This record gives sequence, C-alpha cells and structure tokens, in this order.
Amino acid sequence: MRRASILAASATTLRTLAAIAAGAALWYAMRLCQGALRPVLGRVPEWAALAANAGVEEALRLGLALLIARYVRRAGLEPGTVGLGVVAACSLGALENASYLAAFPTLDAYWRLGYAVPIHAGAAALYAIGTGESKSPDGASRPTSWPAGIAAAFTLAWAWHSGFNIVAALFPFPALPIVGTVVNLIALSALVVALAIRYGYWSVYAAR
Amino acid sequence: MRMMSARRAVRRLVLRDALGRLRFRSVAWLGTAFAAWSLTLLASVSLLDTRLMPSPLAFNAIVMAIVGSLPAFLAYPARRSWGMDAIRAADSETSIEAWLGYRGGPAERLLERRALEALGLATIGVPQATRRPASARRFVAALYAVGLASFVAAQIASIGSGCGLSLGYPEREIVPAVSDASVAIEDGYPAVVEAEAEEVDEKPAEDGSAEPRPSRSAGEADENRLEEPDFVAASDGRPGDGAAEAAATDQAKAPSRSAVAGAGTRRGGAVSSGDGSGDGSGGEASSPGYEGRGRAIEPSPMLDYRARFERQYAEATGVETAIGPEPSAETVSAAITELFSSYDARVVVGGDVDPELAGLGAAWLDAFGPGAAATGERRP
Repeated sequence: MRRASILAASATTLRTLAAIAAGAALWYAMRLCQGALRPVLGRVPEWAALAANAGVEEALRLGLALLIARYVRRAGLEPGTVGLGVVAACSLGALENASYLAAFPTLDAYWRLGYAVPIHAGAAALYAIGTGESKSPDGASRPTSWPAGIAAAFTLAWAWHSGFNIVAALFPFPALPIVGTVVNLIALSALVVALAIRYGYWSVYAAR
Repeated sequence: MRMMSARRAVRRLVLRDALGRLRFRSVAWLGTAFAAWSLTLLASVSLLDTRLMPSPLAFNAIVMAIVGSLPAFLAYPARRSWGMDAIRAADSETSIEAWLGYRGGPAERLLERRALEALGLATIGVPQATRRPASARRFVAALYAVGLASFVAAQIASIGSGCGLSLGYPEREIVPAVSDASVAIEDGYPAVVEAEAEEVDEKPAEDGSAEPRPSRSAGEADENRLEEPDFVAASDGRPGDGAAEAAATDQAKAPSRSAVAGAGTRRGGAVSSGDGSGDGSGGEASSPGYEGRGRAIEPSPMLDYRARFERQYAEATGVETAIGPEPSAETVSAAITELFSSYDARVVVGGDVDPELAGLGAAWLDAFGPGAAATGERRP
C-alpha cells in the first residue's frame, strides 16, 4: 500500500515534469513557426499579423491539448489529468516572460503576469474543458461533442488572444495593464472553477 | 419546486466544496511562492560577488515564473471522486446520495425530502468536505516555515553584506565617493585637479591644519568644487545605457511580438542592467569627483567642468542652470559671457569727496604713479 502510494506519487510527479517540458517545447515551436511566417506577415497590416501570430500560438496549444487528451484516454487516467495542459501553459508563459525580460529589462515586464500569462493559462483551461471525456452516470465513458466544442473553444481563445494583442499594440491607453489584468483574472478564475467542476464534480451534476 | 430547490442546494454544496479546494490550492501556491522567492533571495545574497551569483535576469525570471505558476496550482488535475466525497462528507445517513441515485419512482418525494433535510444540515457551519487532509495542511505549513526562515536569513545576510533590506535583486548601496586631492591627481586629469589642489594647499597655512584637505568650511563659494559634480541630473542619457537605448528603440516594435502592455520607461531597481558590462552589478565609481555606478560610467573632464560651471553660474546669477545636457557652443559662449561680464562692471563714484581721502589719494598717486585707481575700476 505504501509502495503503491509512492509509485502513484512518482508517476504524478513525472507527468507534471513532462507537462513542464511540453510547455517549453511548445514555446520553442511557436517561435519557430512565427519566425517562418514573418516574411509573409511583414506584408500584411499589423492587426492581421498580430491575429495570425495569435492563431499560430492557439493552434499549437490546441494540438498539445488534444495530445494530452488522447494520452489520458489511452492510459486510462483520471479525466481531470487534461488539466496538465494548464501546467504546460504556465511553463510556456515563464519562458516567454524570461525572453521578454531579456529584451526589455524593466520592471514593466511584471505586468505580463496579469496581461499575458492568464491568456495562455485560460486558453489551455478552455481546451482542457473541451477536449476531455466525461463519465456518464452508468460508468461508461464517452467523449464530449468534440468537433463543435473544440471549434468553439479555439475560436473563443483565438479571438481573446488577438483582441488583447491588437489593443496592446494599436490602441494602448494608460490603464491598459490594470484593466487587462483584471479582465484576464476574472476570465481565468471562471475557467478554473469550470474546469474543477467539469472533472471533479461532474458526477453530481450528471445525476441531477 | 422542491426538486429545483434540492438540485440547487446540492449544486451549491458542490460549488462550496470546489471553492474550498481552490482556496486551499491558492494558499499552497502562496506558501510555495514565498518559500521559493525567499530561497532565491537567500541564494543570491549568499553568492554575492561570486561567479555563481544569479544575474538580475535570472533572478527576476525565477520570481516571475514562481508568481505566474498560480494557474498551474489551481488547474492541477481534479479527481472525479471529489463530488461524491463532498456529498458523503456532508451526508451521514446517505440521504443525499440515495436521492441522487434514484431514477424516479414512488419514493421520489420521500427521498427528496430527506435529501433536503440533510442538505440543510450540511450548509450549517463549515462543511467537512472543505477541510483538507492533515498531511497536506502540515506540508503547506512547512512551506511557510521554510519561507520565513529563508527570508529572515536572507535579510540578515543582505544587511551584513551592505545591501540593506533586499526584497528584490540584492545590490549594494552606493557610498558617495569622498573627494581627495591625492586621489584626484591620480585620476589622470592634472590640468583641472592640480589647480584646485594648489588652492587647497594654501589653506592649511591660514587655519593651521596639519594636512592639506579639500576645503569643506562653510562660507566658501566653491567649497564643494572637489566633490562629485551633479551631472547625473544634467545628463540622463549616459553613454553606458546601451540596453536602455535598445529597449527604447525596440519598445516601438515590441507590441507586434506578444500581448504585452506597459510603457517603455526605464526604471531603476534590480532589473535595470543598463551598464556596458551587462551584469548589472552596482558599485561606486572608481574615481572621486564623478558620480555613477558600475564600470560603464566613463569619467570625463568635460562633464566635470560643465557641472562646475553650471554650479557657479547658478550661484552667481541665482538662476537654475538652463544649459541642459548637450548645450550648443553658442549657448555655452553666451552663458560664459553673461557670467564674466560682471567683472567688467564700471562703478561711477560721484558726490562730495572727503578731503582726507582726497589727500591720501593724491599722495598715493605721487608715490606710485598713475594707475587704475584713477578711473575707479573694481576688480575682484
């Protein structure tokens, strides 16, 4: 029993570390893809370039979420394990912040904690809600309505990300950091609660 | 109506349990962040002035990563058993669970009434389901203890190292350089410093000091001539701020890279690493007479001269310096002309002359010949 619990804890730790590494790999992949698109995006209006870059990031993030969901199903893990996508998003956010800090070494970079990191984490939470499976009251597992739910999640995350980027680049105003932080944190809080209920309390909601 | 009430009540119970778990995770994150930040601070202070000391970039990147890990704590995988665990913790007679599992039939009303009674009792006080296991609570408490111990140790080490209280990247406080004539001579600009050193050397014969010292006595118009000039305010764009300039120029291109907000003004603090060495380390200027930090500040006699001239100008005219950090030659010439034109002031002395003074003046002229005293010029 003790050995089983140690093994279970080790497996959880390994999965967490793997999620962190996946976030780092995702960040690198995003930079590569955006770098490859730069010659093309240099000829379009700035708002279009910002939206395209956001689309690249969200598409890659959704790909990672689908991979995680598939791994969870195949390995027979708890459905809530798809929440590791948020861990990967935080790892990505940390790397992005570090690269930004290296380029612009000012204390203003700390605003990214409220303006940028919740965008990554919120999108990952949204994908985790849409890509995971749910257990019916009779114990049979079935995936949620994949295509519609995933498409909606992707559209919403892309629009949110693009909106923040475009406003920050083209329509900045003095209160933008704090307004963006507040809005982001409200959205992230709602998504986190929804994620917890989705995978932790769905049995109660499904019963009645 | 009762079914809706029971359903609403059970969902409210579930929501309270979910928020309780998230609240505990927030506390766990705070403890982890506090411990990690304190340990990072302690490591930075302990490794001060060594090669292993983290750079300001590494320090702040770690802090940002720690603070930005809150979503990871909150969204960490949830177990599907949370719901039933919350129900069972609040339902000692399994009334709620029985009602949840009942798919309709003659006992629906009875089960629902009993479930409502159990839910009503469960919402009194703090539901048991929100309490986390004792081991988890002990672990979180241990995190706070480690954080507090590390923080205290870091502050003790920081104060002992001369950095003062360090909440961010530890940096030593700047100690104003004490101007010294002998050190100033070694500075390599003898033309300016030697002349002032000669003036200083004359003073010990008047006031009886044993050693020639820079004049600090009150009442001297240029008593602080050998001290550091205040060119920090005069020159904001120091040559060594390459990173700041790059940040200022790149800031215009930044918004297209990522969703970031905030002005691009360069601020002080641990993050500012604008010196040429790039390591952001502080330290007083190596030569007296010049303010600055690090090795990026190049001592310049022109800056020194300009700062001293601006101070004399302000003292003589009572007008704050308007020359600015990069004055044109015309501006400087006009300022010099205005300052030194007072030396050519001519005073006309008229009215009645005291006969004794007139006699003395005549005797002087007879003894020493015609001179400037006849035209009434005054020179300092």
